Amino acid sequence: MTQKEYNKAIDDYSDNIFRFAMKHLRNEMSAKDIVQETFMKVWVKHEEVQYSKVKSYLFTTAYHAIIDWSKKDKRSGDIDQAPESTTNQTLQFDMNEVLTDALSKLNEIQKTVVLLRDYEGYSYSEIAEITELSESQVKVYIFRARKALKEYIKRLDLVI
Amino acid sequence: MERISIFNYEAFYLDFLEGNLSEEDHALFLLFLEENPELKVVDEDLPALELEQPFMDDTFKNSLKQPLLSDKITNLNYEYFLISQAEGLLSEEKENEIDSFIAGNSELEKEKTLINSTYFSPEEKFVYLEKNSLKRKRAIILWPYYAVAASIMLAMLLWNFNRNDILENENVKFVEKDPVNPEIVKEVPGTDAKDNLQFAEKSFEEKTNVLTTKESVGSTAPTNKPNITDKINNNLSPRGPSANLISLENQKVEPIHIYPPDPNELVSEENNQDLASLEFSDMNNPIKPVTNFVGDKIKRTVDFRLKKKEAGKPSGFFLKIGKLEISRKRN
Repeated sequence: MTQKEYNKAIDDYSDNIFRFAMKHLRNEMSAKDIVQETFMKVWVKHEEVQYSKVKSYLFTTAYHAIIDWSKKDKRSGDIDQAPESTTNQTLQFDMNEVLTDALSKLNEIQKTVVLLRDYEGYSYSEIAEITELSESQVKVYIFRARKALKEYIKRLDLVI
Repeated sequence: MERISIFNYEAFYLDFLEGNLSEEDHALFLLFLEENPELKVVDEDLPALELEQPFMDDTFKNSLKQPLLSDKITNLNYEYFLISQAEGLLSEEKENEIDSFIAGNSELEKEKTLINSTYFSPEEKFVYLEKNSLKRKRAIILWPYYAVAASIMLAMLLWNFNRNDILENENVKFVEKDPVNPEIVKEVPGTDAKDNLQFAEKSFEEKTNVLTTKESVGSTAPTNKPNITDKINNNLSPRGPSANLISLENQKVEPIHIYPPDPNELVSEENNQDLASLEFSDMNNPIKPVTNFVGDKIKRTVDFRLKKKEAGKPSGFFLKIGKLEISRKRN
Protein backbone atom coordinates (compact mmCIF):
# COMPACT_ATOMS: atom_id res chain seq x y z
CA MET A 1 0.00 0.00 0.00
CA THR A 2 1.43 3.33 -1.00
CA GLN A 3 1.40 6.49 1.06
CA LYS A 4 -1.35 7.83 -1.16
CA GLU A 5 -3.45 4.73 -0.60
CA TYR A 6 -2.80 4.94 3.11
CA ASN A 7 -4.11 8.51 3.16
CA LYS A 8 -7.12 7.39 1.13
CA ALA A 9 -7.78 4.64 3.67
CA ILE A 10 -7.93 7.33 6.34
CA ASP A 11 -10.57 9.18 4.35
CA ASP A 12 -12.52 6.02 3.65
CA TYR A 13 -12.37 4.10 6.90
CA SER A 14 -11.46 6.31 9.84
CA ASP A 15 -15.13 7.13 10.46
CA ASN A 16 -15.96 3.42 10.51
CA ILE A 17 -13.18 2.65 12.96
CA PHE A 18 -14.21 5.61 15.09
CA ARG A 19 -17.84 4.42 15.24
CA PHE A 20 -16.70 0.90 15.98
CA ALA A 21 -14.54 2.14 18.86
CA MET A 22 -17.17 4.54 20.13
CA LYS A 23 -19.72 1.75 20.41
CA HIS A 24 -17.27 -0.37 22.29
CA LEU A 25 -15.82 2.19 24.61
CA ARG A 26 -18.53 4.85 24.83
CA ASN A 27 -15.81 7.41 25.30
CA GLU A 28 -14.83 9.83 22.56
CA MET A 29 -11.29 10.37 23.76
CA SER A 30 -10.62 6.67 24.04
CA ALA A 31 -12.20 6.05 20.65
CA LYS A 32 -9.92 8.66 19.08
CA ASP A 33 -6.95 7.02 20.74
CA ILE A 34 -8.00 3.72 19.23
CA VAL A 35 -8.30 5.28 15.77
CA GLN A 36 -4.90 6.89 16.08
CA GLU A 37 -3.27 3.75 17.42
CA THR A 38 -4.89 1.66 14.69
CA PHE A 39 -3.65 3.81 11.84
CA MET A 40 -0.22 4.16 13.39
CA LYS A 41 0.10 0.39 13.51
CA VAL A 42 -1.13 0.06 9.95
CA TRP A 43 1.35 2.70 8.77
CA VAL A 44 4.19 0.70 10.26
CA LYS A 45 3.14 -2.26 8.11
CA HIS A 46 1.76 -0.31 5.17
CA GLU A 47 4.29 -1.73 2.75
CA GLU A 48 3.15 -5.25 3.59
CA VAL A 49 -0.58 -4.58 3.51
CA GLN A 50 -2.46 -4.52 0.23
CA TYR A 51 -4.96 -1.74 -0.18
CA SER A 52 -7.70 -4.23 -1.04
CA LYS A 53 -7.26 -5.80 2.40
CA VAL A 54 -6.70 -2.66 4.37
CA LYS A 55 -10.24 -2.37 5.73
CA SER A 56 -10.11 -5.84 7.20
CA TYR A 57 -6.62 -5.14 8.52
CA LEU A 58 -7.79 -1.91 10.12
CA PHE A 59 -10.68 -3.58 11.90
CA THR A 60 -8.46 -6.41 13.09
CA THR A 61 -6.00 -3.92 14.49
CA ALA A 62 -8.75 -1.81 16.04
CA TYR A 63 -10.36 -4.89 17.54
CA HIS A 64 -7.13 -5.92 19.26
CA ALA A 65 -6.57 -2.38 20.46
CA ILE A 66 -10.07 -2.32 21.94
CA ILE A 67 -9.57 -5.67 23.63
CA ASP A 68 -6.32 -4.40 25.16
CA TRP A 69 -8.03 -1.21 26.25
CA SER A 70 -10.89 -3.18 27.81
CA LYS A 71 -8.49 -5.38 29.72
CA LYS A 72 -6.96 -2.31 31.25
CA ASP A 73 -10.29 -0.67 31.97
CA LYS A 74 -12.98 -3.21 32.64
CA ARG A 75 -16.21 -1.72 31.45
CA SER A 76 -18.23 -4.58 30.17
CA GLY A 77 -21.38 -4.94 32.18
CA ASP A 78 -23.71 -7.80 32.77
CA ILE A 79 -26.63 -8.10 30.44
CA ASP A 80 -28.64 -9.66 33.25
CA GLN A 81 -28.42 -6.44 35.21
CA ALA A 82 -30.76 -4.62 32.89
CA PRO A 83 -33.01 -2.26 34.79
CA GLU A 84 -36.62 -3.16 35.19
CA SER A 85 -39.04 -1.19 33.11
CA THR A 86 -40.80 1.82 34.52
CA THR A 87 -43.48 4.00 33.11
CA ASN A 88 -41.08 6.87 32.57
CA GLN A 89 -38.64 4.68 30.72
CA THR A 90 -41.38 3.50 28.49
CA LEU A 91 -42.40 7.05 27.80
CA GLN A 92 -38.85 8.00 27.03
CA PHE A 93 -38.61 5.12 24.66
CA ASP A 94 -35.70 5.34 22.30
CA MET A 95 -34.81 2.04 20.78
CA ASN A 96 -31.40 3.21 19.62
CA GLU A 97 -30.38 4.28 23.10
CA VAL A 98 -31.74 1.09 24.57
CA LEU A 99 -29.81 -0.96 22.07
CA THR A 100 -26.64 0.98 22.74
CA ASP A 101 -27.11 0.40 26.42
CA ALA A 102 -27.77 -3.29 25.81
CA LEU A 103 -24.72 -3.52 23.61
CA SER A 104 -22.54 -2.14 26.36
CA LYS A 105 -23.61 -5.06 28.52
CA LEU A 106 -22.30 -7.62 26.06
CA ASN A 107 -18.80 -8.91 26.34
CA GLU A 108 -16.19 -7.56 23.94
CA ILE A 109 -16.26 -10.37 21.45
CA GLN A 110 -20.06 -10.30 21.17
CA LYS A 111 -20.00 -6.54 20.73
CA THR A 112 -17.36 -6.87 18.05
CA VAL A 113 -19.14 -9.47 15.96
CA VAL A 114 -22.46 -7.66 16.16
CA LEU A 115 -20.98 -4.30 15.20
CA LEU A 116 -18.97 -5.75 12.35
CA ARG A 117 -22.07 -7.50 11.13
CA ASP A 118 -24.47 -4.57 11.47
CA TYR A 119 -22.26 -1.56 10.81
CA GLU A 120 -19.96 -2.94 8.17
CA GLY A 121 -22.09 -5.74 6.77
CA TYR A 122 -19.30 -8.27 7.00
CA SER A 123 -20.05 -11.92 6.39
CA TYR A 124 -19.36 -14.53 9.02
CA SER A 125 -16.16 -15.56 7.26
CA GLU A 126 -14.90 -11.97 7.08
CA ILE A 127 -15.68 -11.42 10.75
CA ALA A 128 -13.90 -14.68 11.50
CA GLU A 129 -10.85 -13.39 9.68
CA ILE A 130 -10.87 -10.12 11.55
CA THR A 131 -11.43 -11.60 14.98
CA GLU A 132 -9.30 -14.67 14.34
CA LEU A 133 -12.17 -16.96 15.27
CA SER A 134 -13.72 -19.79 13.32
CA GLU A 135 -16.78 -19.08 11.26
CA SER A 136 -18.94 -21.26 13.48
CA GLN A 137 -17.66 -19.45 16.56
CA VAL A 138 -18.69 -16.16 14.99
CA LYS A 139 -22.11 -17.56 14.29
CA VAL A 140 -22.51 -18.73 17.87
CA TYR A 141 -21.43 -15.36 19.25
CA ILE A 142 -23.85 -13.53 16.98
CA PHE A 143 -26.76 -15.78 17.91
CA ARG A 144 -26.01 -15.43 21.59
CA ALA A 145 -25.68 -11.68 21.26
CA ARG A 146 -29.00 -11.37 19.41
CA LYS A 147 -30.72 -13.43 22.04
CA ALA A 148 -29.19 -11.39 24.85
CA LEU A 149 -30.16 -8.12 23.17
CA LYS A 150 -33.68 -9.39 22.63
CA GLU A 151 -33.96 -10.40 26.27
CA TYR A 152 -32.70 -7.00 27.37
CA ILE A 153 -35.30 -5.20 25.31
CA LYS A 154 -37.99 -7.59 26.42
CA ARG A 155 -37.10 -7.00 30.05
CA LEU A 156 -37.59 -3.29 29.57
CA ASP A 157 -41.01 -4.05 28.17
CA LEU A 158 -40.32 -1.90 25.15
CA VAL A 159 -42.90 -3.52 23.00
CA ILE A 160 -43.21 -2.05 19.61
CA MET B 1 -11.94 -51.54 73.41
CA GLU B 2 -15.11 -51.65 71.38
CA ARG B 3 -14.90 -51.50 67.60
CA ILE B 4 -17.14 -48.38 67.34
CA SER B 5 -16.61 -45.60 69.91
CA ILE B 6 -17.20 -41.86 70.27
CA PHE B 7 -13.71 -41.35 68.86
CA ASN B 8 -14.31 -43.03 65.50
CA TYR B 9 -18.07 -43.19 65.06
CA GLU B 10 -18.17 -40.41 62.36
CA ALA B 11 -16.49 -42.60 59.79
CA PHE B 12 -18.91 -45.38 60.53
CA TYR B 13 -21.78 -42.93 60.45
CA LEU B 14 -20.91 -41.76 56.91
CA ASP B 15 -20.59 -45.32 55.71
CA PHE B 16 -23.88 -46.06 57.44
CA LEU B 17 -25.65 -43.22 55.63
CA GLU B 18 -24.19 -44.22 52.29
CA GLY B 19 -24.96 -47.93 52.90
CA ASN B 20 -21.38 -49.02 52.78
CA LEU B 21 -21.26 -50.88 56.11
CA SER B 22 -21.12 -54.62 56.30
CA GLU B 23 -23.93 -56.43 58.06
CA GLU B 24 -21.83 -56.91 61.14
CA ASP B 25 -20.72 -53.27 61.26
CA HIS B 26 -24.26 -52.14 60.48
CA ALA B 27 -25.58 -54.10 63.51
CA LEU B 28 -22.76 -52.81 65.67
CA PHE B 29 -23.42 -49.18 64.60
CA LEU B 30 -27.16 -49.46 65.36
CA LEU B 31 -26.26 -50.81 68.79
CA PHE B 32 -23.86 -47.87 69.26
CA LEU B 33 -26.57 -45.35 68.36
CA GLU B 34 -28.96 -46.95 70.89
CA GLU B 35 -26.34 -46.62 73.58
CA ASN B 36 -25.59 -43.01 72.52
CA PRO B 37 -28.84 -41.48 71.31
CA GLU B 38 -27.47 -37.92 71.56
CA LEU B 39 -25.17 -38.71 68.59
CA LYS B 40 -28.01 -39.65 66.36
CA VAL B 41 -28.35 -37.23 63.42
CA VAL B 42 -31.82 -36.28 62.28
CA ASP B 43 -32.42 -35.98 58.57
CA GLU B 44 -32.87 -32.18 58.74
CA ASP B 45 -29.32 -31.82 60.02
CA LEU B 46 -27.90 -33.45 56.96
CA PRO B 47 -27.06 -31.02 54.14
CA ALA B 48 -29.41 -31.34 51.24
CA LEU B 49 -27.29 -32.00 48.23
CA GLU B 50 -29.19 -31.59 45.05
CA LEU B 51 -27.69 -32.59 41.81
CA GLU B 52 -27.82 -29.52 39.53
CA GLN B 53 -28.86 -30.19 36.01
CA PRO B 54 -26.54 -28.35 33.61
CA PHE B 55 -28.65 -25.91 31.69
CA MET B 56 -27.97 -24.78 28.15
CA ASP B 57 -30.67 -23.02 26.25
CA ASP B 58 -31.87 -24.43 22.98
CA THR B 59 -30.85 -21.45 20.92
CA PHE B 60 -27.27 -21.83 22.02
CA LYS B 61 -27.30 -25.54 21.45
CA ASN B 62 -28.86 -25.16 18.04
CA SER B 63 -26.39 -22.48 17.08
CA LEU B 64 -23.59 -24.94 17.74
CA LYS B 65 -25.06 -27.42 15.34
CA GLN B 66 -24.62 -27.45 11.63
CA PRO B 67 -27.37 -25.67 9.71
CA LEU B 68 -30.72 -27.09 10.64
CA LEU B 69 -32.54 -26.05 7.54
CA SER B 70 -34.10 -29.43 7.17
CA ASP B 71 -35.26 -29.59 10.80
CA LYS B 72 -38.86 -29.12 11.61
CA ILE B 73 -39.68 -25.90 13.44
CA THR B 74 -40.94 -26.57 16.94
CA ASN B 75 -41.60 -24.62 20.12
CA LEU B 76 -38.09 -25.53 21.26
CA ASN B 77 -36.16 -24.28 18.28
CA TYR B 78 -38.34 -21.52 16.80
CA GLU B 79 -36.11 -18.81 18.30
CA TYR B 80 -33.14 -20.16 16.40
CA PHE B 81 -35.13 -19.97 13.18
CA LEU B 82 -36.31 -16.46 13.95
CA ILE B 83 -32.72 -15.29 14.42
CA SER B 84 -31.64 -17.20 11.33
CA GLN B 85 -34.40 -15.50 9.40
CA ALA B 86 -33.27 -12.10 10.64
CA GLU B 87 -29.69 -12.98 9.69
CA GLY B 88 -30.82 -13.94 6.22
CA LEU B 89 -29.73 -17.53 6.52
CA LEU B 90 -33.02 -19.21 5.73
CA SER B 91 -34.17 -20.42 2.37
CA GLU B 92 -37.41 -19.11 0.98
CA GLU B 93 -39.10 -22.37 1.84
CA LYS B 94 -37.95 -22.23 5.44
CA GLU B 95 -38.94 -18.57 5.73
CA ASN B 96 -42.44 -19.45 4.69
CA GLU B 97 -42.45 -22.26 7.22
CA ILE B 98 -41.40 -20.01 10.12
CA ASP B 99 -43.84 -17.33 9.05
CA SER B 100 -46.69 -19.79 9.03
CA PHE B 101 -45.50 -21.21 12.36
CA ILE B 102 -45.73 -17.88 14.16
CA ALA B 103 -48.80 -16.68 12.31
CA GLY B 104 -51.67 -16.10 14.68
CA ASN B 105 -49.46 -16.42 17.75
CA SER B 106 -49.03 -12.94 19.20
CA GLU B 107 -46.26 -14.04 21.55
CA LEU B 108 -44.18 -15.42 18.72
CA GLU B 109 -44.85 -12.39 16.54
CA LYS B 110 -43.67 -10.21 19.37
CA GLU B 111 -40.54 -12.33 19.64
CA LYS B 112 -39.90 -11.85 15.96
CA THR B 113 -40.35 -8.10 16.28
CA LEU B 114 -37.94 -7.99 19.20
CA ILE B 115 -35.30 -9.98 17.34
CA ASN B 116 -35.61 -7.75 14.30
CA SER B 117 -35.13 -4.71 16.49
CA THR B 118 -31.74 -5.90 17.78
CA TYR B 119 -29.99 -4.69 14.63
CA PHE B 120 -27.87 -1.59 14.65
CA SER B 121 -27.59 0.94 11.90
CA PRO B 122 -24.46 3.07 11.50
CA GLU B 123 -24.76 6.36 13.28
CA GLU B 124 -23.54 9.03 10.92
CA LYS B 125 -23.16 11.46 13.80
CA PHE B 126 -19.94 9.74 14.72
CA VAL B 127 -17.40 11.25 12.39
CA TYR B 128 -13.69 11.31 12.92
CA LEU B 129 -12.68 14.92 12.38
CA GLU B 130 -8.94 14.60 12.73
CA LYS B 131 -8.21 12.72 9.55
CA ASN B 132 -5.60 15.18 8.38
CA SER B 133 -3.56 14.69 11.50
CA LEU B 134 -3.21 11.01 10.63
CA LYS B 135 -2.16 11.54 7.04
CA ARG B 136 1.43 11.23 5.99
CA LYS B 137 2.90 14.13 4.09
CA ARG B 138 5.66 13.68 1.57
CA ALA B 139 8.91 15.16 2.83
CA ILE B 140 10.45 17.48 0.24
CA ILE B 141 14.15 18.18 0.62
CA LEU B 142 14.63 21.74 -0.47
CA TRP B 143 18.17 22.55 0.47
CA PRO B 144 19.77 21.33 -2.80
CA TYR B 145 17.41 23.57 -4.74
CA TYR B 146 18.26 26.48 -2.49
CA ALA B 147 21.96 25.75 -2.93
CA VAL B 148 21.70 25.63 -6.71
CA ALA B 149 19.58 28.77 -6.83
CA ALA B 150 22.02 30.60 -4.59
CA SER B 151 24.96 29.44 -6.69
CA ILE B 152 23.32 30.62 -9.89
CA MET B 153 22.45 33.95 -8.36
CA LEU B 154 25.97 34.37 -7.05
CA ALA B 155 27.40 33.46 -10.42
CA MET B 156 25.12 35.85 -12.27
CA LEU B 157 25.91 38.61 -9.81
CA LEU B 158 29.61 38.12 -10.20
CA TRP B 159 29.27 37.80 -13.94
CA ASN B 160 27.36 41.05 -14.11
CA PHE B 161 29.91 42.74 -11.92
CA ASN B 162 32.76 41.32 -13.96
CA ARG B 163 31.12 42.39 -17.21
CA ASN B 164 30.89 46.02 -16.13
CA ASP B 165 34.46 45.82 -15.05
CA ILE B 166 35.49 44.43 -18.44
CA LEU B 167 33.69 47.20 -20.32
CA GLU B 168 35.31 49.84 -18.24
CA ASN B 169 38.79 48.49 -17.84
CA GLU B 170 39.62 45.58 -20.06
CA ASN B 171 38.73 46.46 -23.62
CA VAL B 172 40.53 49.78 -23.51
CA LYS B 173 43.77 50.04 -21.70
CA PHE B 174 46.14 52.92 -21.36
CA VAL B 175 49.70 52.07 -20.80
CA GLU B 176 51.36 54.38 -18.40
CA LYS B 177 55.02 54.61 -19.04
CA ASP B 178 55.88 57.40 -16.65
CA PRO B 179 54.95 57.76 -13.09
CA VAL B 180 52.04 59.98 -12.45
CA ASN B 181 52.72 63.34 -11.00
CA PRO B 182 50.03 63.96 -8.50
CA GLU B 183 50.50 67.70 -8.81
CA ILE B 184 49.30 67.80 -12.32
CA VAL B 185 46.90 65.01 -12.37
CA LYS B 186 43.61 66.04 -13.65
CA GLU B 187 40.88 63.79 -12.59
CA VAL B 188 38.68 62.71 -15.39
CA PRO B 189 35.34 61.94 -13.99
CA GLY B 190 33.66 58.70 -14.81
CA THR B 191 33.76 57.93 -18.47
CA ASP B 192 32.86 54.78 -20.06
CA ALA B 193 35.10 52.72 -22.28
CA LYS B 194 33.80 54.19 -25.49
CA ASP B 195 34.48 57.72 -24.34
CA ASN B 196 37.92 56.73 -23.22
CA LEU B 197 38.59 55.27 -26.64
CA GLN B 198 37.59 58.40 -28.50
CA PHE B 199 39.39 60.60 -26.11
CA ALA B 200 42.58 58.57 -26.30
CA GLU B 201 42.58 58.55 -30.10
CA LYS B 202 42.37 62.30 -30.28
CA SER B 203 44.95 62.63 -27.61
CA PHE B 204 47.33 60.50 -29.59
CA GLU B 205 46.89 62.66 -32.69
CA GLU B 206 47.43 65.85 -30.86
CA LYS B 207 50.43 64.38 -29.02
CA THR B 208 52.39 67.24 -27.63
CA ASN B 209 49.55 69.73 -27.69
CA VAL B 210 47.27 67.69 -25.58
CA LEU B 211 49.31 68.15 -22.51
CA THR B 212 48.41 71.16 -20.54
CA THR B 213 49.78 72.61 -17.43
CA LYS B 214 47.93 73.28 -14.34
CA GLU B 215 47.96 76.98 -15.16
CA SER B 216 46.79 76.57 -18.72
CA VAL B 217 43.86 74.49 -17.57
CA GLY B 218 42.75 77.29 -15.37
CA SER B 219 43.47 80.01 -17.97
CA THR B 220 40.62 81.82 -19.57
CA ALA B 221 42.72 83.16 -22.46
CA PRO B 222 41.28 82.42 -25.82
CA THR B 223 43.16 79.99 -27.96
CA ASN B 224 42.74 78.61 -31.42
CA LYS B 225 43.45 75.11 -30.37
CA PRO B 226 40.82 73.15 -28.70
CA ASN B 227 41.10 73.16 -24.98
CA ILE B 228 41.66 69.74 -23.57
CA THR B 229 39.64 70.69 -20.53
CA ASP B 230 36.69 71.32 -22.74
CA LYS B 231 37.18 67.95 -24.28
CA ILE B 232 37.34 66.42 -20.92
CA ASN B 233 34.32 68.28 -19.76
CA ASN B 234 32.46 67.22 -22.86
CA ASN B 235 33.25 63.70 -22.02
CA LEU B 236 31.99 63.91 -18.50
CA SER B 237 29.69 61.18 -17.65
CA PRO B 238 26.61 61.80 -15.59
CA ARG B 239 27.75 58.95 -13.38
CA GLY B 240 30.13 61.30 -11.62
CA PRO B 241 33.71 60.72 -10.62
CA SER B 242 35.10 57.31 -11.21
CA ALA B 243 38.15 55.63 -9.98
CA ASN B 244 39.78 55.92 -13.33
CA LEU B 245 42.56 58.40 -13.30
CA ILE B 246 44.31 59.59 -16.39
CA SER B 247 47.37 61.57 -16.12
CA LEU B 248 47.22 64.39 -18.56
CA GLU B 249 50.49 65.92 -17.79
CA ASN B 250 53.80 64.48 -18.81
CA GLN B 251 52.07 61.45 -20.05
CA LYS B 252 52.57 59.65 -23.23
CA VAL B 253 49.32 58.32 -24.27
CA GLU B 254 49.71 55.49 -26.63
CA PRO B 255 47.17 54.00 -29.03
CA ILE B 256 44.68 51.77 -27.59
CA HIS B 257 45.48 48.15 -27.11
CA ILE B 258 42.38 46.13 -27.50
CA TYR B 259 43.17 42.80 -26.05
CA PRO B 260 41.55 39.77 -27.46
CA PRO B 261 40.19 37.35 -24.94
CA ASP B 262 43.02 35.79 -23.07
CA PRO B 263 43.23 32.16 -24.19
CA ASN B 264 44.77 31.28 -20.87
CA GLU B 265 41.74 32.58 -19.15
CA LEU B 266 39.69 29.63 -20.28
CA VAL B 267 41.70 27.10 -18.48
CA SER B 268 40.80 23.52 -18.37
CA GLU B 269 40.30 21.76 -15.13
CA GLU B 270 43.37 19.68 -15.72
CA ASN B 271 45.53 22.78 -16.05
CA ASN B 272 44.02 24.59 -13.19
CA GLN B 273 47.01 25.20 -11.00
CA ASP B 274 44.97 26.94 -8.37
CA LEU B 275 43.47 23.72 -7.26
CA ALA B 276 46.83 22.09 -6.95
CA SER B 277 48.23 25.02 -5.05
CA LEU B 278 45.48 24.64 -2.55
CA GLU B 279 46.16 20.95 -2.25
CA PHE B 280 42.56 20.26 -3.03
CA SER B 281 43.23 17.88 -5.86
CA ASP B 282 40.68 15.47 -4.51
CA MET B 283 38.00 18.11 -4.21
CA ASN B 284 34.66 17.45 -5.85
CA ASN B 285 32.35 19.71 -7.72
CA PRO B 286 28.87 18.93 -6.38
CA ILE B 287 27.17 21.30 -8.80
CA LYS B 288 29.13 20.58 -11.93
CA PRO B 289 26.13 20.91 -14.30
CA VAL B 290 25.40 24.31 -12.84
CA THR B 291 28.95 25.56 -13.08
CA ASN B 292 29.25 24.26 -16.62
CA PHE B 293 26.02 25.98 -17.58
CA VAL B 294 27.02 29.28 -16.03
CA GLY B 295 30.51 28.99 -17.55
CA ASP B 296 29.04 28.50 -21.00
CA LYS B 297 26.79 31.47 -20.59
CA ILE B 298 29.40 33.92 -19.44
CA LYS B 299 32.22 32.46 -21.53
CA ARG B 300 34.39 32.24 -18.50
CA THR B 301 35.75 29.50 -16.43
CA VAL B 302 33.39 28.75 -13.60
CA ASP B 303 34.43 26.18 -11.14
CA PHE B 304 33.37 25.25 -7.66
CA ARG B 305 35.08 22.63 -5.60
CA LEU B 306 34.21 21.39 -2.18
CA LYS B 307 36.21 19.26 0.16
CA LYS B 308 34.83 17.78 3.31
CA LYS B 309 37.05 17.36 6.27
CA GLU B 310 38.81 14.05 6.55
CA ALA B 311 41.36 12.66 8.89
CA GLY B 312 44.61 14.56 8.42
CA LYS B 313 43.23 16.59 5.52
CA PRO B 314 41.76 20.05 5.61
CA SER B 315 38.29 20.96 4.47
CA GLY B 316 37.44 23.94 2.34
CA PHE B 317 36.06 25.21 -0.89
CA PHE B 318 37.29 26.83 -4.06
CA LEU B 319 35.27 29.09 -6.31
CA LYS B 320 36.56 30.45 -9.61
CA ILE B 321 34.61 32.70 -11.92
CA GLY B 322 36.78 34.10 -14.67
CA LYS B 323 39.69 35.72 -12.91
CA LEU B 324 37.95 35.82 -9.61
CA GLU B 325 39.04 33.14 -7.28
CA ILE B 326 37.82 32.60 -3.80
CA SER B 327 39.03 29.79 -1.68
CA ARG B 328 39.10 28.83 1.90
CA LYS B 329 40.94 26.10 3.63
CA ARG B 330 40.05 25.04 7.11
CA ASN B 331 42.17 22.69 9.13
